[in-house]
Amino acid sequence: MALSFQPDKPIYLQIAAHMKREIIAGSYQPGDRLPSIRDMAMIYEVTPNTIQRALQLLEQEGILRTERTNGKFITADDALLRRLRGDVLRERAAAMTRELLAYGFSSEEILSALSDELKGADSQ
Amino acid sequence: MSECCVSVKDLSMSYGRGDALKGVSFQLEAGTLVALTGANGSGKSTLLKILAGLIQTYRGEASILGQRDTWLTKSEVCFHPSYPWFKPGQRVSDAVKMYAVLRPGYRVAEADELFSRFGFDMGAQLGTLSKGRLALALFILSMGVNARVYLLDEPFGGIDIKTRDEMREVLLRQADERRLFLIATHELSDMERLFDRFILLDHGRIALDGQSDDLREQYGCSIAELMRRKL
Repeated sequence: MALSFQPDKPIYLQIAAHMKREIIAGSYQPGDRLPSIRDMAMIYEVTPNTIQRALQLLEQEGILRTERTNGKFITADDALLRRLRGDVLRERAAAMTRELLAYGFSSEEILSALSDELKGADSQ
Repeated sequence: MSECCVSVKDLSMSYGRGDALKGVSFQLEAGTLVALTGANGSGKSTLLKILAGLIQTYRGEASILGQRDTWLTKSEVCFHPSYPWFKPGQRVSDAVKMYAVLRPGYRVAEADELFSRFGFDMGAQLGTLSKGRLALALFILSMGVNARVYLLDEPFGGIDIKTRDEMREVLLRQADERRLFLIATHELSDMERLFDRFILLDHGRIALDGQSDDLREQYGCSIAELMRRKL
Protein backbone atom coordinates (compact mmCIF):
# COMPACT_ATOMS: atom_id res chain seq x y z
CA MET A 1 0.00 0.00 0.00
CA ALA A 2 1.43 3.33 -1.07
CA LEU A 3 2.01 6.25 1.27
CA SER A 4 -1.02 8.49 1.51
CA PHE A 5 -0.51 12.19 0.96
CA GLN A 6 -2.27 15.28 2.19
CA PRO A 7 -4.13 16.31 -0.95
CA ASP A 8 -3.76 20.06 -0.35
CA LYS A 9 0.05 20.15 -0.09
CA PRO A 10 2.62 19.69 -2.87
CA ILE A 11 3.43 15.99 -3.08
CA TYR A 12 7.12 16.47 -3.80
CA LEU A 13 7.52 18.30 -0.46
CA GLN A 14 5.74 15.45 1.35
CA ILE A 15 8.04 12.89 -0.27
CA ALA A 16 11.12 14.92 0.67
CA ALA A 17 9.85 15.16 4.26
CA HIS A 18 9.09 11.44 4.35
CA MET A 19 12.58 10.60 3.12
CA LYS A 20 14.12 12.81 5.79
CA ARG A 21 12.14 10.93 8.43
CA GLU A 22 13.32 7.62 6.95
CA ILE A 23 16.92 8.82 7.09
CA ILE A 24 16.58 9.97 10.70
CA ALA A 25 14.80 6.76 11.69
CA GLY A 26 17.65 4.77 10.10
CA SER A 27 15.67 3.13 7.28
CA TYR A 28 18.24 4.74 5.03
CA GLN A 29 21.81 4.64 6.32
CA PRO A 30 24.44 7.29 5.61
CA GLY A 31 26.12 6.48 2.31
CA ASP A 32 23.27 4.20 1.13
CA ARG A 33 22.39 4.21 -2.51
CA LEU A 34 18.82 5.20 -3.36
CA PRO A 35 16.64 3.04 -5.59
CA SER A 36 16.28 4.28 -9.17
CA ILE A 37 13.84 7.09 -9.86
CA ARG A 38 11.59 4.63 -11.65
CA ASP A 39 11.57 2.28 -8.67
CA MET A 40 10.93 5.12 -6.27
CA ALA A 41 8.04 6.26 -8.46
CA MET A 42 6.53 2.78 -8.04
CA ILE A 43 7.18 2.77 -4.28
CA TYR A 44 5.53 6.15 -3.70
CA GLU A 45 3.04 5.68 -6.56
CA VAL A 46 3.71 9.07 -8.06
CA THR A 47 5.20 10.13 -11.38
CA PRO A 48 8.97 9.97 -11.93
CA ASN A 49 8.92 13.78 -12.33
CA THR A 50 7.52 14.19 -8.82
CA ILE A 51 10.30 11.97 -7.44
CA GLN A 52 12.87 13.93 -9.41
CA ARG A 53 11.65 17.17 -7.88
CA ALA A 54 11.76 15.77 -4.33
CA LEU A 55 15.29 14.46 -4.87
CA GLN A 56 16.42 17.80 -6.31
CA LEU A 57 15.27 19.49 -3.13
CA LEU A 58 17.14 17.00 -0.94
CA GLU A 59 20.20 17.40 -3.11
CA GLN A 60 20.07 21.18 -2.72
CA GLU A 61 19.98 20.66 1.03
CA GLY A 62 23.06 18.45 0.80
CA ILE A 63 21.26 15.35 2.06
CA LEU A 64 21.74 13.53 -1.24
CA ARG A 65 24.58 13.52 -3.69
CA THR A 66 24.65 12.28 -7.26
CA GLU A 67 27.44 10.14 -8.64
CA ARG A 68 27.26 10.59 -12.35
CA THR A 69 27.09 6.94 -13.34
CA ASN A 70 26.05 5.25 -10.10
CA GLY A 71 22.93 7.10 -9.05
CA LYS A 72 22.03 8.98 -5.91
CA PHE A 73 23.39 8.41 -2.42
CA ILE A 74 22.51 9.52 1.09
CA THR A 75 25.24 11.79 2.36
CA ALA A 76 27.75 10.30 4.77
CA ASP A 77 28.42 13.72 6.29
CA ASP A 78 27.76 13.15 10.01
CA ALA A 79 27.60 16.83 10.89
CA LEU A 80 24.93 17.39 8.26
CA LEU A 81 22.89 14.40 9.39
CA ARG A 82 23.07 15.58 13.00
CA ARG A 83 21.90 18.99 11.87
CA LEU A 84 19.04 17.33 9.94
CA ARG A 85 18.00 15.45 13.10
CA GLY A 86 17.98 18.69 15.06
CA ASP A 87 16.08 20.52 12.33
CA VAL A 88 13.35 17.90 12.12
CA LEU A 89 12.97 17.76 15.92
CA ARG A 90 12.64 21.54 16.14
CA GLU A 91 10.32 21.69 13.16
CA ARG A 92 7.95 19.03 14.53
CA ALA A 93 8.06 20.50 18.05
CA ALA A 94 7.29 23.95 16.66
CA ALA A 95 4.32 22.67 14.64
CA MET A 96 2.91 20.78 17.62
CA THR A 97 3.43 23.72 19.96
CA ARG A 98 1.73 26.11 17.54
CA GLU A 99 -1.25 23.83 17.28
CA LEU A 100 -1.61 23.32 21.04
CA LEU A 101 -1.17 27.03 21.78
CA ALA A 102 -3.86 27.78 19.19
CA TYR A 103 -6.24 25.58 21.24
CA GLY A 104 -5.46 27.85 24.20
CA PHE A 105 -3.45 25.38 26.32
CA SER A 106 -0.88 26.94 28.64
CA SER A 107 2.85 26.14 28.54
CA GLU A 108 2.50 24.23 31.83
CA GLU A 109 -0.36 22.12 30.50
CA ILE A 110 1.54 21.33 27.31
CA LEU A 111 4.75 20.44 29.16
CA SER A 112 2.97 18.23 31.66
CA ALA A 113 0.99 16.45 28.92
CA LEU A 114 4.21 15.88 26.97
CA SER A 115 6.01 14.54 29.98
CA ASP A 116 3.10 12.15 30.72
CA GLU A 117 3.17 10.95 27.11
CA LEU A 118 6.91 10.34 27.31
CA LYS A 119 6.54 8.36 30.53
CA GLY A 120 3.86 6.28 28.82
CA ALA A 121 6.10 5.69 25.79
CA ASP A 122 9.06 4.72 28.00
CA SER A 123 7.10 2.19 30.03
CA GLN A 124 6.00 0.33 26.86
CA MET B 1 13.99 20.30 -21.78
CA SER B 2 11.93 17.30 -22.77
CA GLU B 3 10.81 16.58 -26.27
CA CYS B 4 7.45 18.02 -27.29
CA CYS B 5 5.00 15.21 -27.99
CA VAL B 6 1.72 16.95 -28.60
CA SER B 7 1.07 20.50 -29.64
CA VAL B 8 -2.20 22.30 -30.32
CA LYS B 9 -2.44 25.93 -31.32
CA ASP B 10 -5.61 27.97 -31.44
CA LEU B 11 -7.60 24.80 -31.91
CA SER B 12 -11.33 25.22 -32.54
CA MET B 13 -14.06 22.84 -33.53
CA SER B 14 -17.80 23.23 -34.07
CA TYR B 15 -20.49 20.58 -34.35
CA GLY B 16 -23.22 22.46 -36.21
CA ARG B 17 -25.10 23.75 -33.17
CA GLY B 18 -22.26 25.04 -31.05
CA ASP B 19 -18.54 25.28 -30.49
CA ALA B 20 -16.93 22.25 -28.88
CA LEU B 21 -13.48 23.86 -28.69
CA LYS B 22 -12.63 27.53 -28.82
CA GLY B 23 -9.01 28.54 -29.37
CA VAL B 24 -7.24 25.89 -27.29
CA SER B 25 -3.43 25.99 -27.19
CA PHE B 26 -0.89 23.93 -25.25
CA GLN B 27 2.23 21.81 -25.64
CA LEU B 28 2.76 18.52 -23.85
CA GLU B 29 6.14 16.96 -23.20
CA ALA B 30 7.26 13.35 -23.45
CA GLY B 31 7.69 11.64 -20.11
CA THR B 32 4.66 13.23 -18.48
CA LEU B 33 1.17 12.20 -17.36
CA VAL B 34 -1.39 14.90 -18.00
CA ALA B 35 -4.99 14.99 -16.81
CA LEU B 36 -7.61 16.61 -18.99
CA THR B 37 -10.58 17.51 -16.83
CA GLY B 38 -13.78 19.45 -17.12
CA ALA B 39 -17.53 19.00 -16.91
CA ASN B 40 -19.42 16.80 -19.36
CA GLY B 41 -19.52 18.53 -22.74
CA SER B 42 -16.50 20.70 -22.01
CA GLY B 43 -14.65 19.43 -25.10
CA LYS B 44 -12.37 16.75 -23.64
CA SER B 45 -13.43 13.93 -25.96
CA THR B 46 -13.41 16.19 -29.01
CA LEU B 47 -9.85 17.23 -28.23
CA LEU B 48 -8.71 13.62 -27.84
CA LYS B 49 -10.44 12.59 -31.08
CA ILE B 50 -8.72 15.38 -32.99
CA LEU B 51 -5.35 14.26 -31.63
CA ALA B 52 -6.19 10.66 -32.51
CA GLY B 53 -6.86 11.72 -36.10
CA LEU B 54 -10.55 10.80 -35.92
CA ILE B 55 -11.79 14.36 -36.55
CA GLN B 56 -10.25 16.37 -39.34
CA THR B 57 -12.68 19.27 -39.64
CA TYR B 58 -11.07 21.41 -36.93
CA ARG B 59 -9.58 24.87 -37.29
CA GLY B 60 -6.15 25.79 -35.95
CA GLU B 61 -3.20 23.43 -35.57
CA ALA B 62 -2.77 20.04 -33.98
CA SER B 63 0.39 17.99 -34.19
CA ILE B 64 1.77 14.80 -32.71
CA LEU B 65 5.53 14.21 -32.59
CA GLY B 66 5.94 17.16 -34.95
CA GLN B 67 3.57 15.68 -37.56
CA ARG B 68 0.75 18.08 -38.48
CA ASP B 69 -1.69 15.56 -39.96
CA THR B 70 -2.68 13.63 -36.88
CA TRP B 71 -4.30 10.87 -38.95
CA LEU B 72 -0.79 10.01 -40.18
CA THR B 73 0.48 9.46 -36.65
CA LYS B 74 -1.95 6.72 -35.68
CA SER B 75 0.80 4.13 -35.29
CA GLU B 76 2.42 6.29 -32.58
CA VAL B 77 -0.87 6.87 -30.80
CA CYS B 78 -2.97 4.66 -28.59
CA PHE B 79 -6.49 6.07 -28.50
CA HIS B 80 -8.74 4.66 -25.81
CA PRO B 81 -12.35 5.67 -26.48
CA SER B 82 -14.90 6.03 -23.72
CA TYR B 83 -17.45 4.07 -25.78
CA PRO B 84 -17.32 0.31 -26.47
CA TRP B 85 -15.99 -0.59 -29.93
CA PHE B 86 -16.29 -4.38 -29.82
CA LYS B 87 -19.00 -6.83 -30.85
CA PRO B 88 -20.84 -8.11 -27.76
CA GLY B 89 -20.09 -11.74 -28.61
CA GLN B 90 -16.35 -11.10 -28.85
CA ARG B 91 -14.30 -12.89 -26.20
CA VAL B 92 -11.49 -11.36 -24.17
CA SER B 93 -9.01 -13.58 -26.00
CA ASP B 94 -10.43 -12.48 -29.40
CA ALA B 95 -9.93 -8.85 -28.43
CA VAL B 96 -6.28 -9.51 -27.56
CA LYS B 97 -5.78 -11.27 -30.89
CA MET B 98 -7.44 -8.39 -32.71
CA TYR B 99 -5.13 -5.87 -31.06
CA ALA B 100 -2.13 -8.06 -31.88
CA VAL B 101 -3.09 -7.99 -35.55
CA LEU B 102 -3.97 -4.30 -35.71
CA ARG B 103 -1.11 -2.90 -33.63
CA PRO B 104 2.47 -3.72 -34.63
CA GLY B 105 4.54 -4.42 -31.51
CA TYR B 106 1.46 -5.27 -29.42
CA ARG B 107 2.58 -6.84 -26.12
CA VAL B 108 0.37 -9.90 -25.95
CA ALA B 109 2.22 -11.41 -22.99
CA GLU B 110 1.77 -8.25 -20.93
CA ALA B 111 -1.92 -7.97 -21.77
CA ASP B 112 -2.41 -11.67 -20.88
CA GLU B 113 -0.56 -11.20 -17.61
CA LEU B 114 -2.73 -8.22 -16.65
CA PHE B 115 -5.92 -10.09 -17.53
CA SER B 116 -4.82 -12.95 -15.31
CA ARG B 117 -3.73 -10.61 -12.48
CA PHE B 118 -7.16 -8.98 -12.49
CA GLY B 119 -8.87 -12.37 -12.55
CA PHE B 120 -10.37 -12.35 -16.05
CA ASP B 121 -11.58 -15.49 -17.80
CA MET B 122 -10.08 -15.17 -21.30
CA GLY B 123 -13.07 -17.01 -22.71
CA ALA B 124 -15.62 -14.56 -21.28
CA GLN B 125 -17.65 -12.58 -23.79
CA LEU B 126 -17.03 -8.84 -23.50
CA GLY B 127 -20.77 -8.17 -23.79
CA THR B 128 -21.48 -10.15 -20.60
CA LEU B 129 -19.07 -8.20 -18.37
CA SER B 130 -20.32 -5.64 -15.87
CA LYS B 131 -19.71 -1.99 -16.70
CA GLY B 132 -16.71 -1.75 -14.40
CA ARG B 133 -15.14 -5.04 -15.52
CA LEU B 134 -15.60 -4.06 -19.15
CA ALA B 135 -13.92 -0.69 -18.57
CA LEU B 136 -11.04 -2.52 -16.89
CA ALA B 137 -10.77 -5.00 -19.80
CA LEU B 138 -10.61 -2.15 -22.33
CA PHE B 139 -7.96 -0.43 -20.20
CA ILE B 140 -5.84 -3.58 -20.12
CA LEU B 141 -6.15 -3.94 -23.90
CA SER B 142 -4.86 -0.39 -24.32
CA MET B 143 -1.97 -1.00 -21.93
CA GLY B 144 -0.72 -3.73 -24.25
CA VAL B 145 -0.28 -1.20 -27.05
CA ASN B 146 3.27 -0.03 -27.64
CA ALA B 147 2.90 3.66 -28.49
CA ARG B 148 4.48 7.03 -27.75
CA VAL B 149 1.27 8.94 -27.08
CA TYR B 150 -1.62 7.49 -25.07
CA LEU B 151 -4.94 9.31 -25.33
CA LEU B 152 -7.25 7.75 -22.78
CA ASP B 153 -10.87 8.91 -22.54
CA GLU B 154 -12.34 8.26 -19.08
CA PRO B 155 -10.45 5.02 -18.41
CA PHE B 156 -11.45 4.96 -14.71
CA GLY B 157 -15.21 5.45 -15.22
CA GLY B 158 -17.36 3.00 -13.27
CA ILE B 159 -14.36 1.27 -11.70
CA ASP B 160 -14.18 0.68 -7.94
CA ILE B 161 -11.59 2.42 -5.81
CA LYS B 162 -9.47 -0.65 -5.06
CA THR B 163 -9.16 -1.52 -8.74
CA ARG B 164 -8.36 2.13 -9.51
CA ASP B 165 -5.42 1.86 -7.08
CA GLU B 166 -4.11 -1.04 -9.14
CA MET B 167 -4.71 0.77 -12.42
CA ARG B 168 -2.61 3.63 -11.08
CA GLU B 169 0.24 1.22 -10.57
CA VAL B 170 -0.21 -0.29 -14.04
CA LEU B 171 -0.08 3.18 -15.60
CA LEU B 172 3.05 4.16 -13.68
CA ARG B 173 4.71 0.97 -14.83
CA GLN B 174 3.96 1.93 -18.46
CA ALA B 175 5.18 5.50 -18.06
CA ASP B 176 8.67 6.25 -19.30
CA GLU B 177 10.56 9.26 -20.54
CA ARG B 178 9.56 8.66 -24.16
CA ARG B 179 5.84 8.36 -23.54
CA LEU B 180 3.08 10.86 -22.98
CA PHE B 181 -0.22 10.05 -21.29
CA LEU B 182 -3.10 12.46 -21.82
CA ILE B 183 -6.02 11.19 -19.78
CA ALA B 184 -9.51 12.67 -19.76
CA THR B 185 -11.00 11.98 -16.34
CA HIS B 186 -13.55 13.02 -13.76
CA GLU B 187 -12.05 10.79 -11.09
CA LEU B 188 -9.63 13.13 -9.40
CA SER B 189 -9.36 12.62 -5.66
CA ASP B 190 -7.64 9.24 -5.57
CA MET B 191 -5.95 9.69 -8.96
CA GLU B 192 -4.42 13.12 -8.40
CA ARG B 193 -1.02 11.75 -7.47
CA LEU B 194 -0.75 10.12 -10.89
CA PHE B 195 -0.53 13.38 -12.81
CA ASP B 196 2.24 15.89 -13.48
CA ARG B 197 -0.06 18.44 -14.98
CA PHE B 198 -3.74 19.35 -15.09
CA ILE B 199 -5.60 21.03 -17.91
CA LEU B 200 -9.15 22.11 -17.11
CA LEU B 201 -11.55 22.73 -19.98
CA ASP B 202 -14.67 24.83 -19.52
CA HIS B 203 -17.06 25.17 -22.46
CA GLY B 204 -14.30 24.49 -24.95
CA ARG B 205 -11.74 26.87 -23.46
CA ILE B 206 -8.81 26.28 -21.14
CA ALA B 207 -9.86 27.49 -17.69
CA LEU B 208 -6.71 26.34 -15.91
CA ASP B 209 -3.44 24.70 -16.90
CA GLY B 210 -0.58 24.02 -14.52
CA GLN B 211 1.89 21.62 -12.93
CA SER B 212 0.12 19.70 -10.15
CA ASP B 213 2.39 20.64 -7.26
CA ASP B 214 2.59 24.26 -8.42
CA LEU B 215 -1.22 24.43 -8.37
CA ARG B 216 -1.38 22.88 -4.87
CA GLU B 217 1.26 25.33 -3.67
CA GLN B 218 -0.37 28.35 -5.31
CA TYR B 219 -3.96 27.66 -4.26
CA GLY B 220 -3.31 25.78 -1.01
CA CYS B 221 -5.85 23.07 -1.83
CA SER B 222 -6.16 19.74 -3.61
CA ILE B 223 -6.61 19.68 -7.37
CA ALA B 224 -10.08 18.15 -6.94
CA GLU B 225 -11.06 21.08 -4.70
CA LEU B 226 -9.51 23.58 -7.13
CA MET B 227 -11.51 22.12 -10.02
CA ARG B 228 -14.71 22.48 -8.00
CA ARG B 229 -13.89 26.14 -7.33
CA LYS B 230 -13.06 26.86 -10.96
CA LEU B 231 -16.19 25.36 -12.47
